[in-house]
Amino acid sequence: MKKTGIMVLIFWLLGFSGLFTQNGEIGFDIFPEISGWQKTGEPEMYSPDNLFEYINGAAEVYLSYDFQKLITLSYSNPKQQSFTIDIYQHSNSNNGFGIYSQEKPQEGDFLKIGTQGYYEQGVLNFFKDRFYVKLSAFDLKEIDRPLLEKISRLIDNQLPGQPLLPKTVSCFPSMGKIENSERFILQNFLGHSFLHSAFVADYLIEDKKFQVFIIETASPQKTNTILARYLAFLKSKGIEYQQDNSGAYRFSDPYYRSSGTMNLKKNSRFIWGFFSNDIQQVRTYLETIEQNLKNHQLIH
Amino acid sequence: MNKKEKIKSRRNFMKTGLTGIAGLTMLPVITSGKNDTVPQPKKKKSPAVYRALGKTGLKLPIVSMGVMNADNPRLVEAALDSGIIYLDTAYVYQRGRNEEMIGNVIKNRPRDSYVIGTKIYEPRNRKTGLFPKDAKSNSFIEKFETSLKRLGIEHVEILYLHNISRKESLLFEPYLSAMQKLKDQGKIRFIGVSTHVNEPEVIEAATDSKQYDVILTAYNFKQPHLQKIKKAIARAARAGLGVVAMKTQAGVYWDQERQHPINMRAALKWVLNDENVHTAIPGFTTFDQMNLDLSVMQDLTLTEQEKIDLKLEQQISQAGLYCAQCGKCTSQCPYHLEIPTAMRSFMYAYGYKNLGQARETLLSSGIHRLPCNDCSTCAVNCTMGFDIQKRMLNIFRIKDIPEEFLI
Repeated sequence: MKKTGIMVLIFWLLGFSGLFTQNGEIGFDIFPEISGWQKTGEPEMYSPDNLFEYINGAAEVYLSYDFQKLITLSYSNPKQQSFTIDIYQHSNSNNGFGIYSQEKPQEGDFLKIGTQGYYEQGVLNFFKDRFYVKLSAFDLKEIDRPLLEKISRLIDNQLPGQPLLPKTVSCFPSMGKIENSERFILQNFLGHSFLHSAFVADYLIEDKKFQVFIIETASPQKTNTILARYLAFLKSKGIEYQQDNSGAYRFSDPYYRSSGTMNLKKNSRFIWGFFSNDIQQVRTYLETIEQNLKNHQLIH
Repeated sequence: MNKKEKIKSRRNFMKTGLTGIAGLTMLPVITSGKNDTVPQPKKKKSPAVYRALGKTGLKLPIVSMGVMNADNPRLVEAALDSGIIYLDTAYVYQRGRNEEMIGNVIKNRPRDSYVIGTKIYEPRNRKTGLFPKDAKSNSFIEKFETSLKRLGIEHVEILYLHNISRKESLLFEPYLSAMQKLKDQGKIRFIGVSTHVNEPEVIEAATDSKQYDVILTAYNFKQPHLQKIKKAIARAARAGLGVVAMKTQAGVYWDQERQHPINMRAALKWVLNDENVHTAIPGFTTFDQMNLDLSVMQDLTLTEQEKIDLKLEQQISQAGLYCAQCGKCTSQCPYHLEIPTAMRSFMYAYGYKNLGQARETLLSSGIHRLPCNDCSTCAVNCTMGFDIQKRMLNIFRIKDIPEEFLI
């Protein structure tokens, strides 16, 4: 224990920060003692500068979700079984949800740990606020799931923040929504750099799959800028748009002709929409989202 | 890229862009290497430059697609429609959604109109990069069969052993024989290895082994050891291995805060100017980026502005931690301090977080007292751009920490 304490001091002296779980930060003290298991070596910390050393090519995706730091520790037992806990800290809860949603399966064994998690053989991942926690086990056999769940709950209890989905996620219409399909795409939504980030959810109605999106911007001015850039892009391709009485826009995005007509609407800091040629469906979904945004007091 | 260059690039693209531009049909196709052509791209969408992928018989446009970061099937469709043939994915990307998405895109396309490369990652010791000695091939093969199901095809062209950093792992018999078995069964056509770390050792070993057909390696203008990689790639290509480059755009940004983007077109050109690279897999996520990447095939020559944008003269310093050990600093320092050794110590501490090695290295420098505080302005002009005085003051603190407290 003395040695561990001195290591902490040394890292502190050398400028490594965040060794204690406090003030919304996570530290090495979050790793629990687990009966029958030994910590393998010292915990490690990675920053945006060197995350690549730990997860190589996957680092790019984490960095794109504004990764701040990772702390990790492995455990082993006398049977040569082992598991690793990785706790990724991102800049905010949208990005915590975003990186988790990038990796979660479409259909999974979802769990109420943190805000949401899922279990697969040898893996339990969950997120809470801006933290994404990944437990990876090797050859745990029958103790795999109960052990990973137990440890996850221990860590969940220590993590700062609230176990809530981003408010915007709650604004997707429920009819036809595929459960747990919500994701947060941080940049280049629809392959257009001017659209930046978007929350999306998948829908299935009468064997027809489609995706609904809600873009949350920093300000009403930013919303106008994004929409203006989209319309300017259309103009550059010689495409005209229509606007109905409700203020909704309808046009054909040249890269998505096979997906149908793009329908979108804006209000304050939000733009929402989806591809569909079914006018009635469009009206219903656009109005529902608008109402949900109002109900959550995200718009007036 | 300055405004003039941007306008010029845009004009060039508008003139010769690869999506549905009739003028393209007139572009000459430049090839190198063998002329075996499997598969053939559609003629009307021919991009400018193809290269043979070693001795595989595949001939690919020099710009392919790394699908890892794409979460958009329309983008993959657009890439294929624009003449891209090779799609690079992996078992682990997006927990399988990446392969499933590709499967949905390719399901209605002729099998000979695209080439798929995927990768299987098996657990290993993260510190040593070595597989457990008792690891078996079952898991490897099961994962690959899952990949085939997700992709909805009966074979892939290239199966890579994913993310190898050690020669021993490259030659790990259970996985090598598993890949050979899959090749014999016709489920893969070529055996490959991907490497992000310690690439020269891996590439050299793959070449010597004569069991690999393709290497997929990180390769970009910012790598501190790029000369070694370049040399290893050249040898691999001479031996007939296919060479695929990734991480070609060097992290996309110059800075950690992601405020200063790298000129991606220039970075891609830099890689493709090495003819031993047969194709590159930039991970574009927008249609504009795709068109930009494809546009490099119109002219691979780096403009003067692009050379400036890449800061080729200062590139090594951008790595931030790796000292080239040129030794020029020692004579500039009024105290003739053994700075190169201290910079290695700095790298061990901050790059590898190996404090014991950092301290040992610093002590071996023979610097017992640090006079840097006495210099109001450090006289050392590091060839890599390091702030020597600041780094010396920083790392010297480790000298006072007793050895027994460092692991």
